[in-house]
Amino acid sequence: MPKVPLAVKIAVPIVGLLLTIGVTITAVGILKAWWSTPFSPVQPSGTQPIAFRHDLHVIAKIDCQFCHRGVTLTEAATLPSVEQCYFCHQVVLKDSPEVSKIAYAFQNGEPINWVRVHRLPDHVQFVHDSHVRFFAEQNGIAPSQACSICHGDVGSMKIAEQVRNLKMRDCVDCHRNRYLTYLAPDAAQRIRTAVVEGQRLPPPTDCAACHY
Amino acid sequence: MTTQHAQSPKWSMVVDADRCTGCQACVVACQAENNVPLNTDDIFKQKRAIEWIRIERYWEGEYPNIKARFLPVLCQHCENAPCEPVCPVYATYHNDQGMNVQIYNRCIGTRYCANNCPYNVRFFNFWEPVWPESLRNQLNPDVTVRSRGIMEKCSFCIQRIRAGTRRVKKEGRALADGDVVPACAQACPTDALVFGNMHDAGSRVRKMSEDKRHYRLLERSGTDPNVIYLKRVDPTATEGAGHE
Repeated sequence: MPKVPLAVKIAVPIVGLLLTIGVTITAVGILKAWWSTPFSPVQPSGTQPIAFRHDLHVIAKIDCQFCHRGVTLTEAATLPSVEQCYFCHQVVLKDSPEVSKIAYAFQNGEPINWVRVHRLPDHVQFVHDSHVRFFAEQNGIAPSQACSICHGDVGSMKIAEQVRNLKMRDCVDCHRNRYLTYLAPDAAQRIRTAVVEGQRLPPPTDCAACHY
Repeated sequence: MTTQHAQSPKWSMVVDADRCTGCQACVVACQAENNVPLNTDDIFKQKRAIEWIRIERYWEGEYPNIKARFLPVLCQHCENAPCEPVCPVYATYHNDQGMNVQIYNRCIGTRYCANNCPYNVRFFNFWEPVWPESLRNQLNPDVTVRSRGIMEKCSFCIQRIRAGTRRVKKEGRALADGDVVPACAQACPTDALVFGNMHDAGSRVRKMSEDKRHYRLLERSGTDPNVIYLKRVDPTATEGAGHE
């Protein structure tokens, strides 16, 4: 039996250990990336036709619903029309170069081609209305305070970006149990009891709740 | 919050074949509502046309005492659906509202379900659907446009069921007749198609399903459909006559 040098005897297990650690880190990284990457890559700021500042509008105490009017009424939260932007901005900051684009669009009857930030696949039907109203009613808060559950703190963003991955796992986890964590403790208890006693149906986890 | 026991509705349709005039309004309405691809001549000739609801025409009696009869046929939403156990990916299954649903994003297009369906109401997208430019803006945004390789079928206008139940919930009342009307039933000029909640003892479908004229398609096969047909047996008809 040939004599193995001491250096090799020490080096082999160390290299093996390092390889194992490396492979594990890579595997975990890939899995984590798969589960947490936003579905659509976040739009880099500046790709929007107008550098719209969500933070400034929120500082000005404008409610989300003032512009996203459909959010408690329809499936879509809706974007404001050019006319609605211009209604305020014919007076407010009308000399700013970004704001003057609104006046230009209004006077020429052109739409503003906003770049979509949150996009779900076509086979997913999401309804803003029922989600916003559920959290607002149960927590006793204003509808616009429920937006941040999915959209993050848009009020502190210069350019709006996607914060949650909004993949199916994200939706289904919430529909199973996590929705209770977004409720005030007493509201969560009330809902949990009602579901257990059969007075209230839990959030649907049926495929056809969203896919049709 | 309601104090009574929360219960899912069970959706059903009653088709009064005695009222059907075969006008095809339901077919057109369904095509428009559900983004069903356009069926051209050559697609028909290949027997690959997609019609979530179709009118079957047959003759009753012998010449000269012959009568044309019409039967609207749509997905029967069987309780014992033959299409369901053969799907390898669970793209079709029975949901808690008594509907046989098709999940497009799960479907891998094996077509086993269509082969196992005794009613021929499942359709396969052999091509990517195309619409002329003038029709692009008439697509219904609440319904997924099915791409090539996907099976599709009548969904009982599930988008209208969802919208109707949401509206009812918002108004804080119980589901009533007329809250959910599928496109075919809405378009029917003779009121031959009636849709409603079978769990509601006062609903029209429940009352009509107890009519003595009731029968179900291929009832002996044991599929237990959720679509109930009404047809008066013609006393002058002779047995076996008139079928092509």
